[in-house]
Amino acid sequence: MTVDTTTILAEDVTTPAVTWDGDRPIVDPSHLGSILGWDLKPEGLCRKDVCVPVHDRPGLNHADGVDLCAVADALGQPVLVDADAHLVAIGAATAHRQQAMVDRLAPDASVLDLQGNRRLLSEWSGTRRLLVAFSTW
Amino acid sequence: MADENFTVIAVALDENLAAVAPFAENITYPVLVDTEHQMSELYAITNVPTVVWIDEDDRIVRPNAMEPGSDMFTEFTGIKCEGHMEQVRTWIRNGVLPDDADHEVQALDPDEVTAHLHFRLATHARRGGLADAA
Repeated sequence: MTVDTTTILAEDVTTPAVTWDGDRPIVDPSHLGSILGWDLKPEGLCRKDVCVPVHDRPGLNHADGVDLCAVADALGQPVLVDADAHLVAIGAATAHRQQAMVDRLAPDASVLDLQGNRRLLSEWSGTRRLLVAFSTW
Repeated sequence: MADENFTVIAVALDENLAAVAPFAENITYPVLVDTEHQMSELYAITNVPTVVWIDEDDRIVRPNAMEPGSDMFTEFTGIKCEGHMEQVRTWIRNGVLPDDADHEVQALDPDEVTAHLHFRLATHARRGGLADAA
């Protein structure tokens, strides 16, 4: 068991202290809000006024905190762990990803402008728009 | 078409703001950077250039379409302005969508989702490496 600063790439990039139980990252439950945007509450995992019930609550718990992979799992978010490099990447929830395909509603996403400021695609709601994805390479 | 409640939003699938900046010179619409691969993941964008048409009510009216053989970015800068742009004009002015607007977009399969995550880890490691070298 080692405690180390770990880089977590989710919607935002955070570097909390993480207890590594082998290849399982264990985090302080109070850090979940900053890491994933979801807080663990009695009613489940909550973000603003939305709560996702957790079916296997004990499965989240670990002697040193909560199992981040189990939490991501409960939220339907895919996880990739590089335990050697102390890096964790957490993708968007499957349901959120399917919004664009099934409901045909433009999902919001957080990107940077060229000054490095966080911007939301929803800032341009209310106008017809072409979203053009391009690459410089 | 700026007065017609319409904008282009260009989003670079890139990590490096400085590499994108030259592309944004003389461009009046927003140029953004998907550093955390959030947009590409949520919109299941696997190729560039990809264009998604979104209306004022956030509905995707013409989903992901590759525009093969044309550099969309060049096209929007006004250097090339035919074909696709004519369809866009028809939509903005008359509300008429092209015939191919209703095609399905495949959600990312689990392998592609994992590939996105690998890509994020790799680009993060590369950024770290560059910072160490600098």
